[in-house]
Amino acid sequence: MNDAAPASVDLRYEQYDGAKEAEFLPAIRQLISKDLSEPYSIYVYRYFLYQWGDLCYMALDAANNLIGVVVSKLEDHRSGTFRGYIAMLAVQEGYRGKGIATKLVKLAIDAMAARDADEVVLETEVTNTASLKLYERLGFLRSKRLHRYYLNGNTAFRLVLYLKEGTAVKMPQQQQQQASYGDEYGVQNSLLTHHAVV
Amino acid sequence: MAEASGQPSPKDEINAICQDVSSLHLNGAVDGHDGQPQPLQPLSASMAPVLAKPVANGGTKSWDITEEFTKAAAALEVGQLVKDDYFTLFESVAALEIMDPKMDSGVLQPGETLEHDYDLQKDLLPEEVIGIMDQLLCYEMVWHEGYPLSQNLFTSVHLDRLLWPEPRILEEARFDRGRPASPMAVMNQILRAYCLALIKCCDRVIQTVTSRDYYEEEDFSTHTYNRPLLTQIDETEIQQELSHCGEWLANELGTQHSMSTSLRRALESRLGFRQTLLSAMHQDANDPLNALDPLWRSTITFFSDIKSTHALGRPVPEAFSPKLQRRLASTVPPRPVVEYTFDEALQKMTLLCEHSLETIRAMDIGSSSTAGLLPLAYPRALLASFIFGGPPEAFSSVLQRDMEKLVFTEDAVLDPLNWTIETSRSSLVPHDPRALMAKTIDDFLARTSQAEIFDNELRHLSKDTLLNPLMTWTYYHKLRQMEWVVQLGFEQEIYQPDELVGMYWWLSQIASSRYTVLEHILPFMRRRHTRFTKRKQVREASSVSRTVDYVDAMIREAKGTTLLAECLSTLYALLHYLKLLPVPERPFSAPALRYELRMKPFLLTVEPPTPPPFDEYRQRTHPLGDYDQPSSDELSKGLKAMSADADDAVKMAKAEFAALKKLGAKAARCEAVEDAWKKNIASMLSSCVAAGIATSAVKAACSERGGVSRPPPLKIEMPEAGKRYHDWWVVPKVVG
Amino acid sequence: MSNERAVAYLTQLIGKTLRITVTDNRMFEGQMKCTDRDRNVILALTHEYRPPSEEAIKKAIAESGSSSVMLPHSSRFMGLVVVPGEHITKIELEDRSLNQPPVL
Repeated sequence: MNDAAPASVDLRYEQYDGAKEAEFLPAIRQLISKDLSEPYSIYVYRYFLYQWGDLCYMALDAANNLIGVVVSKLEDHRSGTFRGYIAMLAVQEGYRGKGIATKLVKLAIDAMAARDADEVVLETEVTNTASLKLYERLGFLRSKRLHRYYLNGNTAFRLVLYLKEGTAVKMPQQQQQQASYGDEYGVQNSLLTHHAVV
Repeated sequence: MAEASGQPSPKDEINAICQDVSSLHLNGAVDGHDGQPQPLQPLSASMAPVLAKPVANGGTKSWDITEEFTKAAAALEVGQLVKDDYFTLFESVAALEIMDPKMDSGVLQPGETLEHDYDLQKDLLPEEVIGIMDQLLCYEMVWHEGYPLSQNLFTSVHLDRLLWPEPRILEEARFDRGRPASPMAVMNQILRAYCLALIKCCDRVIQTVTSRDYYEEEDFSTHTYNRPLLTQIDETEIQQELSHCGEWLANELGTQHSMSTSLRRALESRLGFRQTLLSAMHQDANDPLNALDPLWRSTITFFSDIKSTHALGRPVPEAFSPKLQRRLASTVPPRPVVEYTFDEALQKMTLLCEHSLETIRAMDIGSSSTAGLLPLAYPRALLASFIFGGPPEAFSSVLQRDMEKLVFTEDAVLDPLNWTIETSRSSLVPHDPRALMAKTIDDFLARTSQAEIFDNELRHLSKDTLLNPLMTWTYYHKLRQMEWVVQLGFEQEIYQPDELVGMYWWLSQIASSRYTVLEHILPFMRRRHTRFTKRKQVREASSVSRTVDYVDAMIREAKGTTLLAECLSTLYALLHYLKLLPVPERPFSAPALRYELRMKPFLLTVEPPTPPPFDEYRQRTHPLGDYDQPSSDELSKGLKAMSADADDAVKMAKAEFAALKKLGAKAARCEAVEDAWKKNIASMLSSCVAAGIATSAVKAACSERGGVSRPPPLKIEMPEAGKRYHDWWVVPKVVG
Repeated sequence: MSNERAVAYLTQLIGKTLRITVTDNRMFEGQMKCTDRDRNVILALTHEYRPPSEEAIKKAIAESGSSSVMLPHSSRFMGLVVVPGEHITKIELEDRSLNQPPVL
């Protein structure tokens, strides 16, 4: 698509800022919905960006065009861990293969680690080798095969990266408030699934 | 139906007045504030003049607030939401966006309409009926594979007409509904009977699957879009329709119509198949198993005729329309119709019947089922319904038989006088057993401590009983499940190439523990056998002799597993030392954290094997130091020793599996699934051969080269799952 | 209009049954849960109502021979939906407990 993209690009990496919703949210929506088969309504973006805007990073070119974005969240998981979740990752087609996605993911992981996350989790299609490679190079391991996870019928791997020792033996706290199931169960699962185009 | 607006309208400006739409609501899905469905006032269609004033109807009023709403919304800030306090953004994630074709199945392309143009009353040719039946079978199997009905069977115009609106009696389920009743053409009647039986089979499958406590949503969709699948209609009525059509074919048609014998046979085999399948599926867990066995068997006999006559059919693509999906109640985005070829579908149906039959046979003679092709949701639910859905004795007898064949053969403990067990109904045979296995390991932990208490009591009650029989039995099964968790990881490609050293090492630890347990049982059973033989207690002796064979077979299997896993672990470590298999850098994770993640399912175990501390694990999997910088003292000697070990291990593994093969399926208690068992052993033997070849190549490379300064000129190919001799054994191919 | 007044007005509509017609003439009836500056409205327990197609009307007239016929809207349950503001052509409030619509 974007064949005119220069071989090496000078990009700025910026944390999302809610005050700039009018400027960036439409661009984020457009970039992500363009390439991903999973459909998201505007409220899906709001769900992530209103609560975890600080875990969203954007790659912008000199003219402030959105070249890449990563959208994540971080909350208590019912397993007892404080779990980061990478929800969406996309880079404009002409800019892929230049390490932009890796840089964005690193920024998100660093931000989660700084906020004391135990682990980082995501799902990606078993056939999406570019995405699997990206995460596995960073240190993610496959933890589970999720049969027919996506709306298009494709199967996913859940990938996990532990950030702290003792994560595997954490237990749910008693009387813990109802945990979020969004990334694993229920109707929502088809809408909260991670797709990466990198 | 609501009154038409009294005003006569010009012909091209007709008021299309809505029916009392509340009658179409689903489950009385609320629109009145009291939760009761209530009549809606007539709605004006697009062409009708806008209702300017509130109209009272059933107490409902409505106002056009477009202008006020728009003004108010425009006065909100960017990003500001006005929302129900109890409504969270998390919930909003599931909302379907209207007018987005990816989410809203109701969006029509310009010029597109919802109506299909298939005439359900037209007389069908026998060839067309066959074509439609075979397409239905394809969609039926797509559904069995887990896709919702909207993506397969519910695209059938015929099924749609039979099912909606819901027929109260079978008579109402006709293709010519809503028209004056007229005699149905014979071919349409045959198709109708087939469709009715198909629907009833689906109904039965849903009931069997949902009657179990547990099934994975991604495996099987029970959603019927608020269309009951003839649930209220008695199965025998449908059987009668089928018999009726069958007789017709046999008697009248052959003479009156000029239908060829092959066409008649094609139709007969399809009706016959439906008839027996419906009967087989209508049995339940309380029926005697020996009544079910012949039903499944005879269902299978129809497949060769169905297959050979498939070419006679003529496809009728107009009889299927993906548009029907858009009229179904749907809270999910539209999904594409999934297509299988007829051969694929027939193969899947054959497997479904074979697995169901296997289940029944296994229950009947106490044989084990094999690994291999994953059964569909239905046979799994069937198995679960036999174990947990039947009388409590059924569950008890499954456990009892299993204990009997391992630890209690001809033991007084199992005398019915001494034996009662409480039924647990909380478990089931899962589709993706890996995660569940991991959970059951924890259950077994709890059970082991209970078993210890019972065992202590047993020791006082009975002198002639294996030491700690219940603990032995639970421990044995726990180890098996631990092995499966790891093996399924290989099968599902969970592990990356550089994790194989560690995972095969861990597998060998588990399998060797299992081997040790079996070795504790074997001498006891041998002594018991000798005693019975001396006393000329022939029946008892032969029964114990079976257990001796069984334990012996399991010992071979556990030993073979241990050795082959050892070989592969060592082989992969060698490949790393020889720099033939790279280890990724992984800047964001530490090896100890990855080890913790991998060992998560096993961290709570207390009996051996328990995952060792990381340093010990590291040492075991890196015997010559870091793969990148091995300790240089006598490195070449170390490599040679490792390759010799791997070579020895694979040779012994092969001998164990060969011995197991010789003992046979009966000894392994797999006689009900003998073919699958043999195939499995053959695949394991092939894996040993392949591992032997790879080991020899690496061994040669090690002895040729003094050090590892330069990698030997070899290339490694890693076979992916599905292309291996056995999916549990990732054997690298070493290419010179 | 002040933001405060706008919020006050829209808040009254929360939980009420709205009928929202969109550009392709379908109507969605459900309980309002949320909206924003762009009139993206979230409705819960939503039913979709679709008027009969022109062809169906023509056919029905031809068959009945009269100038006025009754045809059903087809309806189905869709649950939770977002109706994007850009596609909305009409918003109606349904409430039998009110004698007049809320005032802006």
